[in-house]
Amino acid sequence: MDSLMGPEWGSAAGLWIGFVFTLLIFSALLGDHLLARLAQHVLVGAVLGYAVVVTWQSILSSRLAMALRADPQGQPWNWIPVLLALIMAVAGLERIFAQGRASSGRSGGWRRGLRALGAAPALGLVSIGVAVALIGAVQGTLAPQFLSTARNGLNWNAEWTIFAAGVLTLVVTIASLLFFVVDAERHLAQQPVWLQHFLRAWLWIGQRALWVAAGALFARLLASRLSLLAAQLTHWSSTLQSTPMGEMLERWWRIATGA
Amino acid sequence: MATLLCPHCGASNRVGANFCNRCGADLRTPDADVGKTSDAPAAAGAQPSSAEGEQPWLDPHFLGDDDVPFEEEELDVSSEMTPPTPAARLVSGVQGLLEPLRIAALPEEQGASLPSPIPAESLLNATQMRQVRQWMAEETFVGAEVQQAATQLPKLWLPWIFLLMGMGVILPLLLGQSPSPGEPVRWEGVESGFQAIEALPPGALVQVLWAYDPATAGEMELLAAPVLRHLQRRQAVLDIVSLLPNGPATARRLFASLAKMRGVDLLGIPVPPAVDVRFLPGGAVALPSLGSVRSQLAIVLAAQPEDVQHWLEQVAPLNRAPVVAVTAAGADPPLRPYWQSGQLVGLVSGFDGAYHYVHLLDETPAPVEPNRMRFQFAVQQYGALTILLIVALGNLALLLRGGREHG
Amino acid sequence: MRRPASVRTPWLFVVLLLTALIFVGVTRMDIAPGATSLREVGFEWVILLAGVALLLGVANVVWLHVRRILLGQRDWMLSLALLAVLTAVIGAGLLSPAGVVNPLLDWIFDALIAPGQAALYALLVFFMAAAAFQHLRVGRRGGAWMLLGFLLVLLVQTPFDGAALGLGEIRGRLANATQWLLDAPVMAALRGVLLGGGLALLVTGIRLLLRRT
Repeated sequence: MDSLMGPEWGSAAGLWIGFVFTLLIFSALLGDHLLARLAQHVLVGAVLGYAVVVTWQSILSSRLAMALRADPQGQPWNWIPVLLALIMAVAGLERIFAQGRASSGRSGGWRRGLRALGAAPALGLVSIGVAVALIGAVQGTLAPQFLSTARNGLNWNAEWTIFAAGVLTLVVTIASLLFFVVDAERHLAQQPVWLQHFLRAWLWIGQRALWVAAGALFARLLASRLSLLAAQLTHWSSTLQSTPMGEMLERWWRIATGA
Repeated sequence: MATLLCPHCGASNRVGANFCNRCGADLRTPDADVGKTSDAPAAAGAQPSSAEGEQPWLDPHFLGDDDVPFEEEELDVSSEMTPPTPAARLVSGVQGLLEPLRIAALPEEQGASLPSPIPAESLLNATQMRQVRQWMAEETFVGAEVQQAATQLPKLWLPWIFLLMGMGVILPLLLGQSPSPGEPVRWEGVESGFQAIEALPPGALVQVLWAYDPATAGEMELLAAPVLRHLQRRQAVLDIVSLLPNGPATARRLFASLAKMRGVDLLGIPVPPAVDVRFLPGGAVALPSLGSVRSQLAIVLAAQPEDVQHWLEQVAPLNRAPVVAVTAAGADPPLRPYWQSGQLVGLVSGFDGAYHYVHLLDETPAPVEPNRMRFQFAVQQYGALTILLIVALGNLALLLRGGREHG
Repeated sequence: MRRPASVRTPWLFVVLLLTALIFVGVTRMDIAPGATSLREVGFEWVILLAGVALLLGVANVVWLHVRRILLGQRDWMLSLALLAVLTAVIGAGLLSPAGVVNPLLDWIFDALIAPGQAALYALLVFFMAAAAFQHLRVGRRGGAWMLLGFLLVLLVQTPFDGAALGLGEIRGRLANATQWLLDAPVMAALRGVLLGGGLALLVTGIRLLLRRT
C-alpha cells in the first residue's frame, strides 16, 4: 500500500482533497445542497470506519485474545465477559436486522428468548453506568459543592468585602437551585402569603443570575468558536501558501491590492 | 383499564392522578383536552396518540413484531402525529430560557389560529416536522403539499448574517488591516495550574485525559502544546488515555508536531519515545478503571466541561491526585465552581489562557507561534466587533417593529 | 398493533442496579480487601461490553443506510457513498498488520477526518452569530440580563489595546468587575445548576430503584 501512496504524491493529494473537502463542508452555509450533503456523508462514513478499526484493534482483539489464551480451567472468569459480549452482539444484530421487517409468527419464540438473553448484558452495562454516575455525582459534585457553599458562604472571620461576596454567592446558589426544583405556580399556591412572597423574590434572583450566567457562557463559547475559525484560516493559509498554486495566488493578490 | 392521557408527553396515567407519572405535568388543569381518557385496549387498535409519547422499544419484552414496517408507517403519518395540547406550564430545561414548543404536525393546522397561550412564532410547520422526522427516522419524502409548503417560511435574514460574519472576520484580514496589539485578560487559575506542573519532581507520573479530537483541536492545541511542553520539561512520565476514537491519533500528531516545530532536543529537553495513547470506550462508565493509577498529577485536556466533571467524579476521589483542567474557553464558566471548591488546582482555558501560559513558560517561542497568536487576536477582535454589530442590528430590528417579543 | 410500554422499571434492571451500586460503592471505598483488583476486573468487563455496544451502534447505522439503498429512498446515493467510505476505512485498518498507525489510515485521517471535523466545528461561529441576532435582544424575556452578561465578558475577553484607545483605566476596572461577576454571582448560579443536575440524577436513580419510571 505504501508503494501506491508515495509520501510526496500522497501528501499532496491529501492536502488538496482535504482542502476541497473543507470547502464542501463550508458550502453548507450557502444552503442545503447535494455536494455539502455528500461531504457530510463521506465524513460520517470515515469517522465511523475509523472508530470501528480503533475499537477492534485497541479493545476487542487484544482483550478477546487475552481471554482466549487464558487457561479456561484455571481462570474461567476470563470467559464470562467474552460470553456476555457474544450474547449482546448476536442479540443486538438480530434486533437491528429485524427493523423494518414484519416477522413471521413461527420465529417469535426463539427471537423472544434471544432478546431476553441479550437484554441481560445490555441492562448490566446500563445499570453499571447509572451506579457509576450516581455514586460519582454524590462523591465528586454534590458533597464537595454543598460543603464548599456552606464553608465559603458564611466566613465570619473574613474581611467584610469577602464576607459579603460569600453571602451573595450563598444566596445566588440557593436561588438558582430553588429555581430548578420549585415551580412557583404548582408548589407555592398552598403556602402562606409571606412565604410565597419570600420564595418568589428568591426565585426572581435565581432566574436573573441564570440569565446573566447564560450571557457570560455565550460570550466564552463565542471565543471558543472564533478560535476554531481562526485555526482553520491559519492552517489553510499557511499550508496553501507553500504550494506553487498558493504562491501564484499570493502574487496576484499582492498586485491586486497594491501591497 | 381507563387511563388519562398526559397533555404534555402523551403518557397514560391512572384516572384521578394529579401529576403525570412520566413528566410530572399537572393533570388537574381545566383545559379542554386535559382529562381526555382512553381505554387502553380499545385505543391500541386505533393507533392512539399516546403511542408517540411512549417508547415501546425500551421495553425488553418488545419484540418488534408489532413494529410497523416503515413503508406502512409513512401512510399512517398524519394519524400518528396528532400533537398533544401542552399544559399551562411545562418544565423543559432551564425555565425561562427554553419555552415549551408546540409542534404542528398536520397540514390543516398550518395557518390556523392557535389557542392561547402558545405564540404563533413557536410553531414548526408540517414541512419542518416532516424534515425532523426524516432526519431522525429516515422517513421518505411524502406529499406534494409539503413541497408547496417548503417555500412558505424562508429565513431571509440567515444568509445575510452568515455573510456579515464571514466578511467581518475575513475581509479585514485579507486587506492586511493589523489590529492594535493588546493583552488578553488573565483569568484566575492559569498561574496555579502552571505552579502545579512546575512543582513536579523529575520522573513524576502524570495522568492525561485526552478529551478532544480534530473537531476542537484548533483551539485545544493552543492550550495543549505549552502544557505538554511544560510536562516534557519537567521530565514527567505521561499516562495518556482518550475516551474518543479519534483522540489517540490527534495526540500522536500534536506530539509529532511539538518535536518537529520546536526542536525539543535543542532546548535540552529529552525527546520522549513514541507516545502511547490508549483508547477506552464507554465514556464516563470506563473512567473508574483509571482510579488505581497512583499518579502525582492529572491533566484533563477537554473541549467540553463534562469531561472534566466526569474525571472529578470518577477518578479524582479514587486516586486523590490533584487535577489541572486545560479547556476550551466555553468550558470555563461551568468549571468555575470546581475551581472555587478546590477540586481543581488549576484552570487554563481559551486562547487567553494559552497566551498567559506561554508567557509563564518563559521560553523562546518557535517562529510560527507569535504569528499564530497575533492572527488569533485579530480574529477575536474582528469577530467581537462583527458580533456586536449583529446584536445591534437584531435590537434595531426589534425597535423598528416597535414592540416586545416573547421568548 | 402496538403494545403499551411498561411504565415500571423491569425487575431484572432493579436487581442489576442494586448489585451495581453495591459493587461500585464497595470497590470505590477500598474497605474490602482486594477491592482495587475487583474493580479493575469489573471495569475490564465493562470496557469490553462498551466496545461491543459501539460496534453495534455502527452496525445499526450501516443497516439503516443499506435499507435506504435497497428501497431507493431519497439520497440513496449518498448512503452508498457513506457505506463505500466506511468499508474502505475498515478494510484499510483491519487488513494492514500495522493496525491503526498504518500509512493509509493515517492518510485518511489527515485528508478526510481531521479537515472534515475541524471545518464542521468552525462553521458553528456562523450559527452562533445567527443565534445572537435572534436572541440577544432587550425585548425578549430575560434578553437584557443575558445581554448584560454577554457584553461584559465579550468586552473583557477581547484583546485590544485599551490605553491606545484612551480606555486604559476603564478597561482595567471593567476587567476587575467582570472577574468578580464570574467568580461570585455567575459561579454561584452555575453551582446551583450543578447541584440541581446532581440532585435530579439522584432522584432519577431512586425512582428507578422504586420502579417508578
